[in-house]
Amino acid sequence: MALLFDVIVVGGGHAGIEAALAAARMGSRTAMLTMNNDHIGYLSCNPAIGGQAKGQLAREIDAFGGEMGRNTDRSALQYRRLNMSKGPAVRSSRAQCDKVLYSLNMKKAVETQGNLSVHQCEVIGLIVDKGRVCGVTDNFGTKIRAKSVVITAGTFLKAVMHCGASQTSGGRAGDGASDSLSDFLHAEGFNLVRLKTGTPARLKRSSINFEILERQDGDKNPVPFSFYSRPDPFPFLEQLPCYLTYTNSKTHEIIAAAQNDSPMFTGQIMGKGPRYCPSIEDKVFRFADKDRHQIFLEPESLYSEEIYANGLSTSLPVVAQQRFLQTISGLEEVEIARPGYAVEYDALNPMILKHTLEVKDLPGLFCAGQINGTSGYEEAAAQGLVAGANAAMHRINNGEELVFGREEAYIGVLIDDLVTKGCDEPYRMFTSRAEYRLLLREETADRRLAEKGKNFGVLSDPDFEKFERKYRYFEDICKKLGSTYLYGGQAEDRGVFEALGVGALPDRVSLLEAIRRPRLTISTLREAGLLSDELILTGEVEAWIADRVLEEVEVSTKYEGYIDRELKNLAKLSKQEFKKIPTDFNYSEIKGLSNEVRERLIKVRPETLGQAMRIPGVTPAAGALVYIQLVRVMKGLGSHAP
Amino acid sequence: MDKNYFANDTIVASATGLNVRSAIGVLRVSGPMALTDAGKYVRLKSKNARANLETRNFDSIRTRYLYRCDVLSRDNAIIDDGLVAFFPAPNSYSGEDMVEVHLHGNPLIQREVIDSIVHNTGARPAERGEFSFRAFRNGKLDLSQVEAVEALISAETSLGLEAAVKSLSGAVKRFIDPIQEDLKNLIASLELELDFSDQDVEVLDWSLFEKKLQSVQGRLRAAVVQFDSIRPAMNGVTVSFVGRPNAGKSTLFNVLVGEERSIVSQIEGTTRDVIREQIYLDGLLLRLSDTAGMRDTSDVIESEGVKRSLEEIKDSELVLVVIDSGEAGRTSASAPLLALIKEVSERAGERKLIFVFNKIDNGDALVIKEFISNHDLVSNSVIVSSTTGQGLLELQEKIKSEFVASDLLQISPEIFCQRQREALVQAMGRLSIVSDNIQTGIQEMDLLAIDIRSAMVAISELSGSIDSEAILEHIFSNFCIGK
Repeated sequence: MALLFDVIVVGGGHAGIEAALAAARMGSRTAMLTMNNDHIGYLSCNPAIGGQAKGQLAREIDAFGGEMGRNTDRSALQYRRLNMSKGPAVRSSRAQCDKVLYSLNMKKAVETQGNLSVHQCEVIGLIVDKGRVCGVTDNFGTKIRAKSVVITAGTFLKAVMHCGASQTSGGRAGDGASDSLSDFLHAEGFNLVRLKTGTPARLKRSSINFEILERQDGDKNPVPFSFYSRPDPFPFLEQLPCYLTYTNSKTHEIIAAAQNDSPMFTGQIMGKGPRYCPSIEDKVFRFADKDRHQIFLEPESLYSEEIYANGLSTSLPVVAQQRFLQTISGLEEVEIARPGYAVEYDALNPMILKHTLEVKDLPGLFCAGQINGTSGYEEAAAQGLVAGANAAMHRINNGEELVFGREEAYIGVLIDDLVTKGCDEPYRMFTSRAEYRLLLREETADRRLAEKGKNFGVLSDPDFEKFERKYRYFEDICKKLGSTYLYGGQAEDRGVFEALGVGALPDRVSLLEAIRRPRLTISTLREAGLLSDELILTGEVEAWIADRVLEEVEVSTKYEGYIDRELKNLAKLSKQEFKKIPTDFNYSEIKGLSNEVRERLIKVRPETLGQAMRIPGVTPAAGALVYIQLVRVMKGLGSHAP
Repeated sequence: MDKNYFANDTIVASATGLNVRSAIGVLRVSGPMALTDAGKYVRLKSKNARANLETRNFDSIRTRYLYRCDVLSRDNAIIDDGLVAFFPAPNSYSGEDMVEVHLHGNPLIQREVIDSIVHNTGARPAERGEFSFRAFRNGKLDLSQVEAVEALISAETSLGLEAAVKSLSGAVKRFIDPIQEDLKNLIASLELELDFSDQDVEVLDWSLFEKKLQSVQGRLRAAVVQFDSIRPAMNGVTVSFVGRPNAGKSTLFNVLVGEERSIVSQIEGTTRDVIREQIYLDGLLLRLSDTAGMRDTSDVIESEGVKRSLEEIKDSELVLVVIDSGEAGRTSASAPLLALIKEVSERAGERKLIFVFNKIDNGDALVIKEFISNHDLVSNSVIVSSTTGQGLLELQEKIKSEFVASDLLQISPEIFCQRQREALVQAMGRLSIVSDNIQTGIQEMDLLAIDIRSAMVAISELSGSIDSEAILEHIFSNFCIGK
C-alpha cells in the first residue's frame, strides 16, 4: 500500500464513507482505514435510513453529491414518507433497508471510487509534527502520511458492551474496540467523555406470530432518496411490510423486577444515553404511568431471518430479555437471534471543533460522526461529508471552506449546534432544531445545495446537469400552470371543480392560482381531469422527476406567504447573525459578563455574533454586552478601561 | 444606536429634569473623570475635605456622603449653595465613578452648572437613558431581569432606548414569563406530533390546545386594554388648542396653566410659536401646547404658525377647539367657524375633541346651547369664560373623565410603553391566525408552530429570546419519548 496520501479517513462507517468519497471525488488521493473491510457501511442498529429530520439530512447529503441516498435506493425494502399531512416543512422520507445489501453496495461504491483505496488495519496513533497532524500509525507499525486525517471512530473508542452483568470489549457485537487510539487522544490532551447507546434484540422471523399483528406497508408511490437517479426497476428490491405490536403491564412488571440486573441502574454504565431513544427499562422507569409502549417489528434483510424489534433497546440480562419479550402479543414463542445490548464509548467535546470540523488547536485533524457526540447514521454521514471535503481543501489550499449556514441546511444546524453547544448526551437531529425549517424542506435540498456540491467537486457534472434540467422544467411548468385557466363559464370545468368541494370556480382562474386553495392539490386536479398529463409530461424530464417537481410547485405556491415571511425574517436576522467576531476578540474586557459565561465564550470562540448568542448560558443580555463590545472595537473605542 | 452610547467618556445630566421648578434639582456626573475633576465645579465647605478634593486625595474623602459645597459657574463664580456626594466605581448606579450635585431646584441653575461642568471638565451632556445604559453595560442592572435587551440592541432612536430601559422591570417579566411558558407548551405539543409521531406519543388534544391558546389570547388582550385605559395617566396627555384667531386660546391656556405664559393681546395672530406647559389635574399630566390661530393669511410667519398648529393636532391626544361664543352667536361668522369645526373634526381622527365655547361673558348662553345642539356637539362641548372663570371646573372635569378611569389607582399595568403594546398586538395578530386556522381545519401543524413562534418572538422583545433547545427540553421532561 502507498504510504503517502492527501487525506486519510479512519473508519468505514457512515461518516467515514462520505468523508472518503467526498475527498476522493474532489481529487484527493484518499485512504480509508477500517478495522473490518466487511463491515463498511454497516447498519449496526436500526435497518433504516431517514425518518423525521433525518430524511432531510439524507436528502441534503445526496443533493451535495454524497452516497447515502443512492445507496438507500439500491437497498430499500420499504419507503414511507412521514408527516405528509402535518405540513410541508416536516415531510420526511424513511426507508427500511436491507442491512446486508446496504453494506455490500456501499462497500462496492467505496472500492470502485477513483482516488480511494481501502485498507484493513487499526489506527493506534496520529503523527503530529510542529503542531499539525500529518499522518497515522497503524497496529502493524506502519506510518502512513497525509496532509490531513479524518477520524470517524463511531462507537469504537474504548468501547465496552453491556448485557446484564456481562461486559465485553467491543464497539459492536462481533467487532473489537479501539483502545489505543483513545489512549493516544487522551495523552494528546483531548478531554474524552463517556457516552452510551443501545440496541434491541434481533428476533427469529419464524418464531413470530405475524398473523395477529397490525401490518404496515410502505407508500404506494415511493419517492427515491436520490434527486438525480433511481435504480431500474424502482423500487429495486422486493418490498416488505413491518408489523406493529405493544408492550403491556406484564412486560413492564418483568422489566421493573429485573431492574437490579440492569447495568443502566446498577451503575455499571456511566455513560450518558440519548433521551429520545431510551432503553425499554428506562421507559418503564421514567414513564411508570404509561401502560404500553409501541414496538415496530422491522425486516433486517432479504438474506436474513432476523427481525429488528424497534422500541425495545435494552441491556438487561439475556434471560430477562427472553422473558419480557414473550409477554408481548405476537412474540409469545419468540426466539432471540441476537440479544440486545448497550455500548459505552469515548467521545470528544465537539466544542473543540471549528465549523469545518477541524480541531481548532490541532490543524490537519478532522472529526466526524459519533466521536463528536452525535447518534444516527444520517447525522454521522452529514458530518463525514463536511469533514472529508474540508480535509480535501487542505490540498487545494485556496482558503475556501465548506461550511453550511443554519438557514441553508440541516447539516448547518447540526454542526453549528455541535460546535456551539457541545453535547452531553448523544445528539439527534429534529426538525424543531432548525429556525427556518420551512426553507429546509427535504425536497428543496438540491436547490439549496447542488450548486455548492458541484463547485466543491463532490457532485458530478452529469448529476448537476440533471439538476439544471429539473429546474428549467420547474420554471416551465410554473409558467404553464400560470397561463392555463379554468373558466367558471364552462359548465364542465365548473362541475368538476365544484365536485372537488373546494369552493366555487370563479370566472377565470389559472391552475397556479387555483392550487392556493386549501385541500386542492395538483394531484386532485390531475385526477379530476382538469390538468392533463399532456401539459405536464413534456419529455423534458422523466415522469418520476416531473412528479417531484409538481409537488414542489404545489408546496411553494400554496405556502408562498409563509415562505416569504421566513425569508424576510431571515433577512432581518442576517445582519446580527453574520456579524463576525475577530479571533483575537477580548472577552475579558467586557464588564458585566458572569465568569461562567465569559469562560464559555472563550472556550467556544464563536465565529459570529449569532453563534455567540446560541451558546448555552449566553443570555440575550450577555449577547448584548458582546455586541456592544464588538461595536466598540469596530469604532476603535477598543480597550480603554473606565 | 448613537455612537455616543459606546464611548467611555464622562457624561453629565440632570437627574430631576430641567422643565419643572422644584425644591431641589440633582445633577449626575458619571465616567472616568467624574471624580477626578469634581474640584472644578464644586468647592467643599469643609476645609479639610476641600483640600483633599483639590489635591485629588480621594482616599480621604467620604464616599456616599453629602458634603455641603459651593457650586461654581463656568467662570468659577459661586452660583449655588448645594450638596455633593461621591460614588466611586463600582459602587454607583452606573458602575462608574459618579458624582451627584444637589442644587436648588431652578432649572436655570441646573443649566448653568451643566454648562460649567461641560466647559471646565470636558464632560459631555448625556444621551437619553445613558446612565441606565451604562449601568447595564457595566453589569449593574440585574441581568436576569433584563427583558428589553433586544430592544436595547436594536433601538435606533434615543426614545426607543428609553422605552427599552423603562421596561427593564420585573413586573413585565412576571407577566410575560407564564405566557411564554404557555406558548412554549403549545409549540411543544405540536412539535411532539411533528418530530416524534413515529414514536408512541400521545395524540394532540385539540380542544385542550384551543383552550390554552384562548387563555393566552385573553391575557394579552386584557393587558393591552388595561394599558390603553391607564396610558394617559401614566404617560400624560398632550393637549393642543385650536381655534380661529382671537377666539381666546391663549387666555384659556393661561387660565389653565395659572400664570401669564402666553402673550395675550387683542391683535389677531399674536401667538406665533408653539408655547408648551405641563400641568396636573388631580394627578393627570397634561402637556399643553398653544398653537397659532388658524386662518388664511399671506403673512409668512403666520402661515408657518398655522402649519404648526395643524401638526400639533397630529401629535396630541386631546384637541381643545376654542370658539368665541360671540362669533358662534353671529350668523355671519358661522361659515368659517363651521369650516374650522369640520376641518378639525376630520383631522382629529381618533383623538378626543372638546369644543370650548369661550367668552360666554360676551355671548348668549341660550344661543350657544342651540348652536351646540344644532351641530350635534352636545356630548363634547363646554361653555366657559376664561375671564370670569365660569365653566372652568366643568372643563377640567370633562378632560379628566375623558382619560381617567375611576378605579385607576387599583390598576397595576402589565406593560409600560407603546413599544411593548405594539409587541403584544403583533403577537395577538399571529395567535389569531393560529386560532382561525384551527377553526377552518387547517392541518399543517408546522405552520401553526411558525405562527406561535412568531408570537413568542414578538413577546420576547419584552422578555428575552426563545430557543428551540428549551422546547425540546420541555418535550423530553414532559412526554414519553421512545423509539
